[in-house]
This record gives sequence, structure tokens and C-alpha cells, in this order.
Amino acid sequence: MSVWLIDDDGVAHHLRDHLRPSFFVGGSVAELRRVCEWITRAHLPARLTRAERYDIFAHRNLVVLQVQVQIPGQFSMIVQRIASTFPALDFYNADISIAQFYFFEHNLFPLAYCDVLVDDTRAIVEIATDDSRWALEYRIPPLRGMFIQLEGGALNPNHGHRAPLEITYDDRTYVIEHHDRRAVIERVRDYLLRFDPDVIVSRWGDSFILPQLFDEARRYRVPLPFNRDPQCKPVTRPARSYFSYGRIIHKTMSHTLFGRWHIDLENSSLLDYGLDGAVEVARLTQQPMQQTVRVSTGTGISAMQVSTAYHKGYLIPFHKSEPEEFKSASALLTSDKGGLTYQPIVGLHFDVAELDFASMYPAIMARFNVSPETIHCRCCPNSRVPEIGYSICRRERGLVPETLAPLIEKRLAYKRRLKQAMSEQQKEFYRRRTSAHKWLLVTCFGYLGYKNARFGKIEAHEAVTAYGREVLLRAKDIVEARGFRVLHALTDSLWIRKKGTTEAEYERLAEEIARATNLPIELEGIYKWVAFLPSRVNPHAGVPNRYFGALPDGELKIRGIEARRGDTPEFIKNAQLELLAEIAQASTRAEFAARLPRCLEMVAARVDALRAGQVPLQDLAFTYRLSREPREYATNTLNAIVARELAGRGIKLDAGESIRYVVTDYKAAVPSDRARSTEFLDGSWSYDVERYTEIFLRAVETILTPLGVNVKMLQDWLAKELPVQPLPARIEHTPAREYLGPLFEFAIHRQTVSRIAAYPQSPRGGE
Amino acid sequence: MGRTLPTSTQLIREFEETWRPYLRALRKEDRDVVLQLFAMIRAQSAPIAYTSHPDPFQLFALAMLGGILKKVIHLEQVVGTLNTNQANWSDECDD
Repeated sequence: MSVWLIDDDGVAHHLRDHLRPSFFVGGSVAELRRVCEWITRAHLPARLTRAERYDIFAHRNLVVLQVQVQIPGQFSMIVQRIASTFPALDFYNADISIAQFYFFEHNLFPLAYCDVLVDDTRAIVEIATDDSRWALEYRIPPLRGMFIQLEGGALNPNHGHRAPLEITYDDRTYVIEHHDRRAVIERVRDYLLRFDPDVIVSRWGDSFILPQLFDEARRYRVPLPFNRDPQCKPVTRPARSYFSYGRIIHKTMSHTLFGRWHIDLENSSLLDYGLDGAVEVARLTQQPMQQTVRVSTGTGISAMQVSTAYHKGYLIPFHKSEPEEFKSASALLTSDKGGLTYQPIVGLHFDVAELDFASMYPAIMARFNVSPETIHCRCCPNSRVPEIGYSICRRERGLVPETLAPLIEKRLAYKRRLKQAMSEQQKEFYRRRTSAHKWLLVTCFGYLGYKNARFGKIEAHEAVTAYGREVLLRAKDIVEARGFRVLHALTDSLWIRKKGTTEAEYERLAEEIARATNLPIELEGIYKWVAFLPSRVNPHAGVPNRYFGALPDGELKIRGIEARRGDTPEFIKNAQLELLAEIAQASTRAEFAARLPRCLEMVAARVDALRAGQVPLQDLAFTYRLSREPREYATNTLNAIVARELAGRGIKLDAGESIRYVVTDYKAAVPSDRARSTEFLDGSWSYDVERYTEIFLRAVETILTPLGVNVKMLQDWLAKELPVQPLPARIEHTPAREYLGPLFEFAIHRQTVSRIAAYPQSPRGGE
Repeated sequence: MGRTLPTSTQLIREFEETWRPYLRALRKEDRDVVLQLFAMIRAQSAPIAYTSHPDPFQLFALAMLGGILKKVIHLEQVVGTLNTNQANWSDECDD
């Protein structure tokens, strides 16, 4: 198999190594004998041996057939052939990727610093590393990066956007005008050969740019060396849509390369940790980087559990389904519950402390040994999960806790460093690392309750929530016994207040709770004020997780309002953040009131800009994720109208894909005039001022509700203060600068932009 | 992972939903009173969830009664304070 290494000078080396990955087949002796005979007759390149391996669900060693594949590239094919011929048998270790096998066998991981001994034929004789997945500080190899996108990168070319190709490297951006397609391909080839990047970051590379370039390269017979390894073709995976946690997700087709990475920012699950965080995830999960950015963090935590199981010699189930055990109705009523939520007390509260259990559910799994194989333990009948009474093992450390414990430790260590960090850059660095850990830890809880997850068991999931409820109630009891009022509590966090309490007293309270619950709890912060917002349906009722608050340094914590939603137009988001920044300076109710005139001035200025047609259309775009295919929409919602508009233009849209549009005339008689896709907005379209003003004022109401301001008051005030004076003058949209981390600065950093017209006879190297 | 049973929040929402026609037909001032009762149930969603009672309406009724009693106690305290203040004021006048 091929192994790519980059040395200290940044030179890439293509090496070879041996690997003999094994999978296991379980069944009766007669069945396993039939499998052996069949493999021998089929002349598959595999060595067969009898083996004994531990099955954590059966709690004992099983006799299995070990199938050691002699050609790693044929591993999946051999598994598929045997599994389809003997579908009733159990298969183990059968869906581990070749790269993971290699990492597991050599205790390696992506981007590890290695010592390598190579012979004359470039075959690896020995490979080892001193680097550790758990190291807090580590060096990233020097990577050469190239960035590819179409001009106007954020617009989706799959939805009709067309523009010249932009290629950025060495601080220069080259814009290739597309007069002649063959010349464009030749240009791209030249840039790839000249710069030889280690990593290509793109926008819409997976779904549009690379497939287009490959098609044209084939048509014009121009070799396009996207792969560093000329023996291999890029691996293509088709697009697909699937349901996950009640949402439909769309994954576009993907193109991964050999010898270098391709990362498409529009087809990556980078959440809030960016590419820097993805490097940390790749190291921890031992998944190749190109795969890490394209799969969910759930797959990442599953890969970590697989690694633990592999090293312990456990059988790793393939296509597992662990159904929920039978239980009585009353047992189901008691056990089938989530975390506790105490509705917030609506209003503006001053001097509020927030106490958070650090990674509560993973910490419970680690601390109380919750794992699929430790639940309903026969050797520890007296060790019981609170409330639901399941027995839980105290003797053997479970697989899930063993996987999670070092991850929790590492996250806590980074959090401590984050608190001590001096510079903003350092803080951002640690924030990204802790965020990557947070997502891995969050998904590990969901995977524990998923019957098809390799190491999932619903009863283990129920045990975690039961411990969680017990812990939150104990914390509440302590807090109330010390005279604090609980304003809000949500699964693993408490918002409390008692007049005149100092930070040291809150810290002591947190220590007391940690001692009583056996779980770490932290003082997240003492807010100058927190506004818990009312429900839009019932103004008397609070809504969990919809609030904003200001810390003493003016930093804001915002949850559940428009500014946090991914579908809100930039104009609305920015307006809310601007207002929040203003009121964040207030510390008392009187100071709040004093800020109101300035807030109203800001509102007036924005309404003025809206009415004058000065807001760039891109800043008013809504983003919507399609829940079905365009033809399946029955009603004329704006989303449906735009989806149909795009479909009518021949654009294929799948459920789970996102569309962006601007409301052009909300009340238009002809549905297609009501909203327009951003990809098809030209100078002849303008936005619906009345509709956007309405949406804007509702967003303002969200922020000013704690001051008693509502939409009706704002409308009345504006009617007096702002006579309608449309001044049509459009200003250009300036996209926000995206921070990808120091490793990937090349993807946005541009010093020089050269425009190159790609004509058939154009001279080369003149740019 | 999917839950088999509805959460307490879902149960409360379903309960509110069944009363939607009633709410619609009420006068505005009466509707506001019922919304306040619903808010009293929502305020106790955590204890309702934790109790796992097979008949959640019993808990809803208790939550509404508790909410009303809380208001009565609060009013009693306010009235008590006012009475004390008035008595003190009268004493001062007598002096």
C-alpha cells in the first residue's frame, strides 16, 4: 500500500508498506467450515485461521474464523462477496478502512511526526512515532496550500452561478477567464505542476469544479494531475440525502485525492471549529483528513471506540442491531426520559451566575462506567443506576468510558489553557480545539442510544440520562439550601442568583456541588444581566435556551434568537448584534433605560437604509434547507416557490440541499414574483421593503423586549420619526472575512490578483 | 435514537393544542387568563417529567393550582406589607 509522508523541508515522499488486514466471521463450526471451503474454491487472496476473540455483548470469547486479506485494496470486495454469500453469519472488523488498519497496526494517526526507516526500493522497513494523540501541543507539518473557487465564491454554481475560475497560491490569486475551455484546463494543469500543493481547499470543488474539470480534461485529452499518485484515480462518491435527528441532510458528491488532500469548504462538517479543529479531530479519531472533514463527528467518536476495541482485541460488530429490551409500561415511563429542563423565569435578571457541568453526559459515562456491556451487569447486582435501577458493572472498565476518559481530560486541559491564554490568537486556537472535543463528546451520547451504532445500547443511554437527572436535582437541592434562587436549569447547567454573592462564594458553591455529585462543575460566568425571553405563542411562558446575557467585560452569550440561526439574513443578524453590543454596556436597569434612545437611533438608521434601497441583496438572503424535492411541495411557501424556480431552470435539487433567496414582492399575485434565488438576481430585481421592515422590527423586538418595547411601539415611533423617503442607491455586498486558522490562511489571504485570459494561443508565464 | 414516549414538553404542547378552539372562542381578557394557566404548567415541566405519572393531567392540574396559590400567597404578602405600613402610619399620626 502507498504511504505519503512530508519531511521537515516540506518535501512529499511516496513510500510503500505491507499490510495484511483481517476480519472475522462468526457462526457454528459447520457454517464456518462452509465459509472456508467457499473462500478456497473462489481463490480469494486470503489466509484463513481459527481464532478466539472477546464479544463484549455476549460477555465471553467466541470462536471465529479469521480471514486475513493478502491484498489490502481487495479488502472491501472480499468482505462484500463473503457477506453476500453468507448473509446469516456475523461479521466483525469488516468495515474498518485500510487507512485505519494501518494507523491501528502502527499506533499512528494523521499528521503524526514519525521516524521512518526506508530501503532502496522506497519500502518502509520501520515506522514509529513519539507523537501522541493526547499531546496538548504539537507541530503541524509544513503544508503547501492552494485555494480554488469560482469568482464570487459563496454563490452556488450548482444553482446556476457561473464565473471565471480563481486559483490562489503563494499569496497570489489568478483569475482564469473562460474563453476557451481547453486553455482553462491547461492553465489548471500548469498551476498544479508548478506549485504541487499538499492540500487543495475549494469552494464547491466536490460537486462542481472538480467534476467539470475532470469531464473537460477527458474531452480534450489533457491529463489533469489533481492526484499526486499517477497510478490512482480520484475517489468519487455519489451525492446522497439522509435523515439524521429529524432533519434531512444532503451530502454532495465528493472527490478525494491520493497523495494530497482535497477539502471542499461547502461539503465539510467543520461546525464551529474550522480546519484547525478538523486537524485535531483527524489526529484523535485516526481517520484520514479528507474523510474527517466529510463525515459527522458521530463517525469520529465511533472511530475512536473502534480503535479502543481493536487494541483490546475485541470483536467489532458490522451491521449491528441491538433492539431495546422488553420492559413494563411503568418501567418505560420511568426510564424513557431525557434531561430535566426548568423553564426560565421570564424577564431581565441582574447578577446571575451560570454553573455548568463540564461535558456532563460523557463525564457520567466515564465516572459511572456507563457502557453497553456494563449495563445489566450480573456480577454487580448491588450497584444500581438511580431512579431506573439497572445494575451496572463496577469491576470491569467499559469500552465507552475507556475511550472517553482521555478525551475529557484533554478538553479540560485545553479549557484551563484557554482561561490563561493572553492573546486573542491563542484564545481562538484553544477555543477551536475545545470545540472539536465538545462535538465529539456531544455525539458520543447520541451514539450510545442508537441501536445500529457499533457500541450502542438504549439501556446505557437511559442510564446516562437517569444519572443526569439525579445530578441536576442534587445540584438544585444544594443551591436552594444555600439560599440561591434557580432562575433556569437545563440538563447540565443552572442559572442562579442571590444578591451580593461574590465570585469566590460561587466558586466554593461549585466545589461543594462537584463533591456531592462526583462530577466536575464550573462557574461559566457571572452575568451583569441575563434576559430570558418569553415564548412568542404564550408571552407568560418562558422558553428554554432562548436568552442573551452580558458578562462584566461586555462579552455576550446569545442563544436561540435570530442572530444565532443559520437561515437569518446578514442584515438582521448584524442589526441584532449591534443592538446587543449597545445594551451590553449597561449594568443596571437605569443604565438600560438610558441606552434606549441610542438603540432607537440604530433602528431608525437601518429602517432608513432599507427604505432607501441601500441594503445589498446578498445581505437580505434567507437560507433554507429543503425538506423534500421541489415537486413534492404542495403549498406556495417562499421556499417552495424558489425551489420550483430553480427546478424550472433545469437545476436538480435534492432534499437536504440549501437554497438562498431574497423576498422581492411578498404579496405579489404571481407566486414566482414573491421571491428570487440569489443566483438569479440581476439589476432588475429589488427587495420587498415592507416585508423586510416587518421582519427587521420583529428581530428588534426580540432584543428590546426586556425594556418593554414591542413591534407596535416601534411602528408607531417610526411613523412619527421617519417619513418614507425612498432613495434608490444600491451598495455593494462585502462578504465577511472567514477565519480558517493559521494553517489554512492561504485560502483567504490574497495580496495580488491577476486576471488571465485563457485563450488557445495565450503566452504562458507572463502573469 | 428516538424516544418511545412523548416528552413532558410535548405532552404540555399537545394538551394546549386540544384547547385551541376554546381559546379562540374566548374573549381577549379571558384568553389571557387561560394562557397564564398554561404558563403555570410549562413552569413545572421538569417536575412533571421527573414524576413519570401515567396520567399527566393530574400533574397539570396540580401545577395550575400551585401557580394560582403562589399568586395568592404573593398577594397576601403584598397586602400584609401594605397593612403594616398603614398601621405604622396610623400610629405615627396618633403620636
